[in-house]
Amino acid sequence: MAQPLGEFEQMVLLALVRLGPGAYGATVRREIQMRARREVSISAVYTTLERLEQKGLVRSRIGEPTPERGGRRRRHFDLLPLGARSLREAYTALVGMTAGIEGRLKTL
Amino acid sequence: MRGRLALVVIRLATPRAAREWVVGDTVEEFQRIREALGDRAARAWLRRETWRVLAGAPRHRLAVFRAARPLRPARNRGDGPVRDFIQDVRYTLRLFGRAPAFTTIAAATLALGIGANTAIFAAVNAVLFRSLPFADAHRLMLVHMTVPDRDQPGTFREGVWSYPKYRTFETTQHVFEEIAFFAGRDLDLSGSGEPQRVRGEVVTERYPAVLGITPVSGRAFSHDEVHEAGTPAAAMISHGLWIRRFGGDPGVVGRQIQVNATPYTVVGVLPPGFRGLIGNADVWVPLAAFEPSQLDEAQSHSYTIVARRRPEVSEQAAMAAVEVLGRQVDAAHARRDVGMPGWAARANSMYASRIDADIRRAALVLLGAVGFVLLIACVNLTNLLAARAMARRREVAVRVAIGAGRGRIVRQFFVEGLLLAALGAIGGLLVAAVLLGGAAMLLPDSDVFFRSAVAPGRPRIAGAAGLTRIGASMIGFDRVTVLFTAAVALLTAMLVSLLPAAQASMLRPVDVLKSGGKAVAAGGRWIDTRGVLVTVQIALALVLLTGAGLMIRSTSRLLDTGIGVDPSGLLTVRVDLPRAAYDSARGQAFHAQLLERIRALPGVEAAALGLCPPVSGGCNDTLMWFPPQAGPRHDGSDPVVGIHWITPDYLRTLGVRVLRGRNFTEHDRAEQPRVLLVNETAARRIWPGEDPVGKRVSVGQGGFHVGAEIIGVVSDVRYRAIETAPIPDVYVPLAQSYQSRMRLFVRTRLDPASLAPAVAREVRGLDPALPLSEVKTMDERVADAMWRTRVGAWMLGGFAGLALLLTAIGVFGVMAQAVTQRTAEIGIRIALGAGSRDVLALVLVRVAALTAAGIGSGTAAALGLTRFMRTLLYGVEPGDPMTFVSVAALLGLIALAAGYFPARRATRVDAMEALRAE
Repeated sequence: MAQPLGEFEQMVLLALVRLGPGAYGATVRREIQMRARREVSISAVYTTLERLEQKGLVRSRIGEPTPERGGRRRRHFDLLPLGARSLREAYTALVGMTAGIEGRLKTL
Repeated sequence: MRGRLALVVIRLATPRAAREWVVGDTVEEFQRIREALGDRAARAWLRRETWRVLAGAPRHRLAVFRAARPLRPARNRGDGPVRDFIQDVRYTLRLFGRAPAFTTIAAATLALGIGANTAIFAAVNAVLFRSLPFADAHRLMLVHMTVPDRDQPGTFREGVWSYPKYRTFETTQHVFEEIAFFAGRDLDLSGSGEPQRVRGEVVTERYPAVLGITPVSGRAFSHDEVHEAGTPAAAMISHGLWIRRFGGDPGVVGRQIQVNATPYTVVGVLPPGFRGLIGNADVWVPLAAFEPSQLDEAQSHSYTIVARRRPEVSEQAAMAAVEVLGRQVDAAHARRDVGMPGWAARANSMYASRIDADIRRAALVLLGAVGFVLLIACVNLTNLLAARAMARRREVAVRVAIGAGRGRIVRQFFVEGLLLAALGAIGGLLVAAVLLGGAAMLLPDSDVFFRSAVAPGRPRIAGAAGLTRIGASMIGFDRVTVLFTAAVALLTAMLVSLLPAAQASMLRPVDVLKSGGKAVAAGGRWIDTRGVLVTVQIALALVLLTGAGLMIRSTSRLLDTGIGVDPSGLLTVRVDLPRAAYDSARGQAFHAQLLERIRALPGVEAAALGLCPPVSGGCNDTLMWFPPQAGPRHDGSDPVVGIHWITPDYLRTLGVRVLRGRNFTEHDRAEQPRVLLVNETAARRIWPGEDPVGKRVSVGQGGFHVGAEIIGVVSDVRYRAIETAPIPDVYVPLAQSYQSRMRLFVRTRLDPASLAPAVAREVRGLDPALPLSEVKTMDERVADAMWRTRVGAWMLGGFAGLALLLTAIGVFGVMAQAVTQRTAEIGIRIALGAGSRDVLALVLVRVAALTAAGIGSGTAAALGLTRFMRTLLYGVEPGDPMTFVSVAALLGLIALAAGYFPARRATRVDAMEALRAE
């Protein structure tokens, strides 16, 4: 049984699922801002991704340097099976808790 | 916040391991937003991102730290200084975390103090200490002619060279391995692109070689280009101009540019950052092409020599040799039309002449003042820390009781000070960056700055003036400045932790534990160490206030000094007609048309032309002599007068009054008898007790050596500087003596600055190739003329205000603490029948005692220290009693007001409650 995920961790993992392979900090930030309308810093995204990696939920690899980043390399993240399971559990829990009250949640 | 700074902040706030991708992503995201939403949106995003990163940084680091060590047991404690230190740091950080308000206030106070120190130091470092950006700069010397000073007989001032004298010097000297001269000029650039007025230098061929620089492309001037009239005209350009005007065109060498409507071929581009010794040059032209008439004008002095000493020749030897050479040069060139006997030469190292003495003095005074502000801030912090240490005495006592050494306790306090100072230093660097960004606004227009006024009797060195340029670009963070900040932070840490550490180490655990940790013990006098500190604080604040008061008085004295014209509603514009395109007939016609068009503009009351604007650092000088004398005598007996070319409306436009006789009219034309006006000072000095109107005189310029009749006396105008008394001046009609370089003066009922576009349109309408420059209201000119005093008053005033605020907080804090500690005593007094008046007096008398002691010692210190400001003041003495009395009164009032609040609280002490608590 994996540890339960925090809310921000869920958002970051969901962004990884949406973005598919090759996601990195800036794209995750952009996805969260566009989808969840939440302004977060790139460095917060990396902190969370790093923690998720230490927990074994995601894995990272370092890319090639590109000129538009001033020759800095990217760090890409992919979802691992354990991460997928944790995300599924979180989603199931949320769906379970909200079943039947979706309408009321909107008008609450 | 600038983009680069934001990135640095993000970089520093990010754990090292993640820096590369976080910063890379930030850069990438910034570019993406800029492309999608524009520069503004991207900057706004970066700013918000930076704040988010800063706000989140501690949390993130902690999170990573925790995740990395999920289940490790607490590390066992041991000895060893490093481990102790780490423990102290952790402990202090926990304390900070528990009192975020205290930490923020303390760090912010220090950030302001340290930041202001860093900013001032960056400026001082740039102008006084940093080495000049030339190879072997210590061997560079500036060589001036020395000229007898007509204002102060018997003294000499530094002057400039003529070309023939330079040649004599160059060919006879043996102490320099490279030698060249330079002089600043205004140049009109046209041809490719908009006409543009730039600064340039007239130089000789070895000029780059002397300074040890080589063109990045192309070459320097050849011998013939400099010395042979008729050689095709060549020019070198600055790296910046090459980028801006020619888009970095690699084929720029060989291209033609128009300088003052004459074609020049670009032969070289000089390295980035080099702007000549005048500090803002963009174009370099050789003498023979630019000023061929100077090639045989031995008495036309205009150039400053810069030379590189031979390595084997000492500075003293070079100076001695130059002195001998100077007299030989003078003997070789007999004087003909200007000057007095006794010219010589003097060499100074470039370091010695890089900045004038007054600005050096001002910079050091400001550095001292800002140091005082930091000291005052330190006193406040010390008091805060000491109060906190008081509250922690029980904890400290327990630690001592169970075996902690005194050293360990003291170190704990030092670590606390160190961490606060470190926070303050980081904040201080940000504060300094902001302050330096704003510094450019305080500096005057460079054009005026070069000719800015100096104290009477100390004329600016014409050629070295550029070295005094404190361009905003010169001031910035370098290694020395950051080291300075670190050193200041360390010193601050020691200062603020000294008192709490000393208090704690003198603690006797038994006493504290017995008394239940209540803060009663340790003397409990009203005026303890902290009272003494407040006294010191008041004294320091008084010194600062006095300095600021003196500067403010100087400013108001300058404002009160009439310059002889009415500056409000007056616009000035420089209109130079290129001599190649305008002979005197065309020029006269242009001037007449221009005035006619300007007068027709709505809102214009009057318009006129004049050679030289008031308070601009000085105008043309020449000699005056009297018939039957045929020419000037050159023995110093003929009076020196300023000479001004004007149109008849000039007096009315500027607000100069005709005191006797008549003004010029339209009838005073070239074919009419020559006439001139003199000012009041001339009338008084040259014809004491007589009426000069109707007399005939000759003056040495503008064709007036043949003699002219004085037709009127007009009121004085201060042309040099506000603080310089008027000299004898004569005015001659422009219609009788054509000049190509004139200023247009426009008097208007409207805001004069709003008239500038219309004036520019009219000028362009007459000749689209004419560049306009020095478009300024007279009020701006007056402000520029007093910039140094004004900036000094602003900065010292700002520091003094800060000091006053910090001192008030200090007095308040110490008295509030004292009242709290004395609650029981006050309770007893009230129980015994003391009224609230008595209690109020009890506290306020203590405040008054501290304040009086502070003001007394501060006044003594200020009397000593303000003497260093003498040369910065105008119309007020360093020991000015008015200033001293008023600042002492102000400070006393503020201190009493700050003490009043704790005093009032003391009157509300509930006697019963206080005694029960005891």
